[in-house]
Amino acid sequence: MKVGTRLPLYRSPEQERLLGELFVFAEGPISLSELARRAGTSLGGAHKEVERLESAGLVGSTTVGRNRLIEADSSSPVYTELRGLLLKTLGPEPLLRTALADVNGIEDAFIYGSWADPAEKAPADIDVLVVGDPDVGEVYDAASAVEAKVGRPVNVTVRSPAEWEEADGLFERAVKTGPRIDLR
Amino acid sequence: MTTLDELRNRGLIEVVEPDQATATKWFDDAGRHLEAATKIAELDPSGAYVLAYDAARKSVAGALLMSEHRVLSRHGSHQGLVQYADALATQVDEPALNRFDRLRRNRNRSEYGSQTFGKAEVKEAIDTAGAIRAACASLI
Repeated sequence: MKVGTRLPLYRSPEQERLLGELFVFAEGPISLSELARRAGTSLGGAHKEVERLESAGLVGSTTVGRNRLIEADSSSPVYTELRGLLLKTLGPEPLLRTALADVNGIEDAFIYGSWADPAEKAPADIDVLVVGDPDVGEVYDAASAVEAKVGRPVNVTVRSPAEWEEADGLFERAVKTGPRIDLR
Repeated sequence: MTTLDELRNRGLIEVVEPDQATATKWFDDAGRHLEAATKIAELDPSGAYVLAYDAARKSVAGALLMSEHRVLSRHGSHQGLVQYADALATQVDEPALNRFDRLRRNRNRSEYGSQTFGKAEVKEAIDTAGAIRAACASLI
C-alpha cells in the first residue's frame, strides 16, 4: 500500500513517513541516514525535509561527533496534535505487528478489507485476520490496545490453520482474493 | 461522581424501581442461552455466537437493573451497556466485561454482514459470556 493516502494533508508521502518516524516510531534521537533509511527516502531528500521541519520548530537536532541526531521537538505547540494524527494514520500496521508478536500461537496475521485497499480513501475501521491457535481472548485484548491508540475499531477474525485452509465461504473467498497487508 | 451518576447525566441510563425478579429472570435466561450455545456451537457457530452475546447482554442489563437503572435507547441502548460493563470490569475485577463490546461488534458483523466464526472464536465468546454472567450474577 502506498503510504500517505490515509490523510492527504502532507506535502508528500515521503514527508509523512519522515514525520511518522520522528513523531511516532523513533525511541530517541536518530541520525539523518537512519531516518532516511527508515522512511525509504534519499539522504538528500531527508536532509531538505529536516531543514524545513527544524526551521518551523517541529524537530530539533544535536551534533554528536560527526553525527547529526534529530528528534521531534515535544515542546512544539502542535506536537501532541501532529503525533496524534500520525499515530492514527501510520500507526495501525506497526502497532498491530508489535502487539500480535507478543501473542503465542499465531502462524499468520494480516490486515484485509478497506484498510488494505490502496483505492479506499477513507476506511473507517481495520479488519485483521489471524491464522493459528492462539488464545483468542489475548488476540482481542491486543487488538483493543491498538484501537485505543489509533482511535479506530480493530476487528479481528481468528481461524485455525485447518479452518483457514478449508474455508470457502463468501467471507473467506473475499478475504483470500482481496488486498492484504502482512503483519508477521 | 459514580459511574451510574455519570452515565445518567449523559442520558445513557435512567433510574428505575428495584426489580430483582426481572434481573433474576435475565440471569436465568443467560444461563440457558449459554447452555444452548454450547450444544449448538459446532452445528451453528453464528447462532451460538448470537446466544453467547445475548447471554452477556442480559447479564450486564441484569446487573444494571440490580443497581436500579436501565439503559435509554435514544442513543442506541448498547452505549449505556458497554460503558457500564467497562466500569463494572474494574469494580468487580473481571476483565471479561471489557470484552463485552467486542462480543457485540463481532455479533453485529455476523448478523449484518458476511462474517463467520471459527471454533475458537465461538468458544471464547461462550467463555467470556459465562464469566460476564458469573460476575454480574454475583451482584444479586
